[in-house]
Amino acid sequence: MTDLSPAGAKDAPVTDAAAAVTLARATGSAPARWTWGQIGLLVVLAVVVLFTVPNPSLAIGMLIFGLWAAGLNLLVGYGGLVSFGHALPFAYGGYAAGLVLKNVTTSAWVALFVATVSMALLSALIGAVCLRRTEVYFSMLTLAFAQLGFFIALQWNDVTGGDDGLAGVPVSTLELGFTTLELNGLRDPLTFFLVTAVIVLLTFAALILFTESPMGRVLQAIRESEERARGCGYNTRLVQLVTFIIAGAVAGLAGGLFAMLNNFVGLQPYWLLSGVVLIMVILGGRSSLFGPFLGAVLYLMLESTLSRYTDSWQFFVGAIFVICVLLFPQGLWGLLTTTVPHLLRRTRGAR
Amino acid sequence: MTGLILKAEGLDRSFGGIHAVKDVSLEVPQGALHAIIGPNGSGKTTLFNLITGHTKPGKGRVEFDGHDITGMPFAKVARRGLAKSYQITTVFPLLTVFENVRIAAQAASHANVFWRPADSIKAVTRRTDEVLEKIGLTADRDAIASNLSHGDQRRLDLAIALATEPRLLLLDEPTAGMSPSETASTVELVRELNREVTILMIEHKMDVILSIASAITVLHQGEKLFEGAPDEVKSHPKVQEVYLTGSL
Amino acid sequence: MDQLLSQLVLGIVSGALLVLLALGLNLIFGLLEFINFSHGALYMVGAYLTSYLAAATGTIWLALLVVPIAMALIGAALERTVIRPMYGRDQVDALLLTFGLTYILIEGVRYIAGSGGRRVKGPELLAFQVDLGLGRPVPAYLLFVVVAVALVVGGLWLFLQKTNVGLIVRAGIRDHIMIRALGVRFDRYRTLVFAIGIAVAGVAGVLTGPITGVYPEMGADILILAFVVVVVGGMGSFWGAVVAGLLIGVLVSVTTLYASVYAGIVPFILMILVMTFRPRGLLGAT
Repeated sequence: MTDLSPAGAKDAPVTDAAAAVTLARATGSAPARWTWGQIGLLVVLAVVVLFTVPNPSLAIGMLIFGLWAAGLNLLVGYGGLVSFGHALPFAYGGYAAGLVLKNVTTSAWVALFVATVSMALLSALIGAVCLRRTEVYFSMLTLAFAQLGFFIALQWNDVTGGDDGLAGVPVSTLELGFTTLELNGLRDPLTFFLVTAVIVLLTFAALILFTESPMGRVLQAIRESEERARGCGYNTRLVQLVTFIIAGAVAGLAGGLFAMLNNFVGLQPYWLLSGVVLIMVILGGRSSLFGPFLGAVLYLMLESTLSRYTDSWQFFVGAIFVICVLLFPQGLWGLLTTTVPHLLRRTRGAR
Repeated sequence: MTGLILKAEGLDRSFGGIHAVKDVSLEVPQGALHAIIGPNGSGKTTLFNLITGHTKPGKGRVEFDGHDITGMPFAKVARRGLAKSYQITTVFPLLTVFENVRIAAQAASHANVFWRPADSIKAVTRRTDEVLEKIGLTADRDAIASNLSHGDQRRLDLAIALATEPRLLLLDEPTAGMSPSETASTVELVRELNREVTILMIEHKMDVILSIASAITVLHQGEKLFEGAPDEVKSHPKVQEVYLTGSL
Repeated sequence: MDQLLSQLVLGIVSGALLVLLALGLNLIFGLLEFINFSHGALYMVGAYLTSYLAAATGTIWLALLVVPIAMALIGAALERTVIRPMYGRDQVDALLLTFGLTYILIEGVRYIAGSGGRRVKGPELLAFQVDLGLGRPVPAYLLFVVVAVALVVGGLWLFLQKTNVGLIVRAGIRDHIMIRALGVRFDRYRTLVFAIGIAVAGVAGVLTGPITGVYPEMGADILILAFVVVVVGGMGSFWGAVVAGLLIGVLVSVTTLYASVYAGIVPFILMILVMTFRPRGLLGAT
């Protein structure tokens, strides 16, 4: 009962609690009923956020960060590839959308399309280098690329606004054929929220499809044993690269939405920002796509609550994160879906 | 054609000062169950690795089904129809038994896409269930692989190799660490599999080899000591010497 | 030309400090098999301890003795409490855990010492300039830093090569299972190596103070550079870390002189080149 380490489950005789954790870590075995049901859960979560979070821009931010974190979890949870540089496609996606809106057109479609596609391309280049090695090398390489990107953004003042950020991104418009919506996060947050929710849900559904697709399954198999996946004839690097590109494109989309929400793209150290999204993933749980989404909502709630009481709120975030990694590596969602029901069953069985 | 599925010529490899494999040639005809035996350190596993491309040969070449595969990456060799079961059991530990085998079956179906659910590809599901049935793991279909017993994990390892629909199956000590009853059923299984697929295997247990192999190569200190039918091997003085003088 | 030479000296100094961090990371990775993300934050803690000790005693000499020992103890305590449960788990979990520690350490220091930095007074004894014939005199303290780092690096190398403990550590880095089979109590060596790694980072913290002052985020930037050094030099390679650290220190410093805009980018370009053409690093084993 005390052994909560999944590794213990691998070599030692399997204890019940360890088995539950093992289950939770095994993405492929995330309770089957929640696979597509995650979309339903997300709808529920979005509705809850809409009605309970008083600050509209925070509520919209939760959707955007949730999508960003869910995309990262393709790499972290499903691929076993911990990227420490996921801020890069988010921030650059923001620049891409912001620059399009400022200089080319105020069409939200075009801005988001450019943000998504450009980050897919950038991720293809970065992934090609980072995926030359895996495990900790991969983490360090992604971190280094993020830092490189940060310096470029910092120095390339004319384009990015450098340290001051890219200001004056105009309000965008969304042509829907029958009508044209103005996406103004300040004056009409409800429209912005609903449009974001639809985009996020559709993208989320596409991510689930990916995890359920043959390639998504191979991705998980590579996490388990790359050698064996190669032995089946798979080009494992290619599968990982495709995943890296998808995660980057989703981050670009999220970054574009975030730029549209704030009419601004700020600059902060990318290692820190990459860390934030990673914390969201781990807090929520890496065994599903919904988990990171929940983690993002939880993190932003923690941030907005704690920062009201103390300037050192990051201290508590760090502490919670450390406890989470130490004791609940399956995260909140993993805890709710596997360990808790499992323990309930045990106590009931014991009676 | 020649009817040879595998042809290795003059394979040679040293590690530092150790000459692990010395000028070994090997011919495996279609449908054979060819065994490689030899004491520990005789170069069996290195020979396997030279064939699969895990280790690059210093000299020599390997032909698979008439094509030169010398030094080709393993994934590429695997795509051509050569599968390997591992000496140290290698499965996907945290996936279900079904998922383990499906990954392999899917590789053979060339349906490695990302825009449709894997569940919707019925041919792969059917193939997976067939293999599970054949290997006798149907009952454990939904178990997590790492929770299986050692013997069952070895069978799963074999199932994964088989599900890729190989034309040549390399087995590295398929009965290692198995109880006598598990060994017996695995031997039966290997014999059965051989009806469909050519097998090249490394084995330690002499009785296992002698009962099922169609041809045997004896390795000793990296060199081919002898090659022939089981009966010839059994009675060959040099082989007896190696095995009976305790060079094991 | 004068400027280039003195910039070279600065590059060697900052490279030498990088070497200390990279060596610790490398050693910990070798034996404990994870990347210690909190390395930079612990270096920062060492620098802060120095700043207080120096303020109290008026000199950094005492800090140079006390801080590494204190950091070794902190390192050992961390290893025994939060890092130990990570063994046997995914390598990445330890990386994440130490990432969380970084948050705690940075915010903790910020809470205690404030967000603004602190200055550290260099030793009076070395408050003079040396003319090395470079055209422009060099502060003696910088030369002292280089010598001190060389001594630490040399000592570390001798420790690994010549002592029984070092022998076991090296053997453990090569083959964990074998060393355990020999009945060596491996846990102790893990604690020891982690403590040594952190102590060495502490030395870097002490030496940095008088040059740049101390501030809560000082560990973050240098940590990422130390990662780059480890990758460029070759994971697990002792001399690789030394060579790559000095190389990157000098490169950055020289670039600052001629094209300061690119100074921040140069190490990463180098790393991408190395990863593309020699993925195992300059001196890394295959």
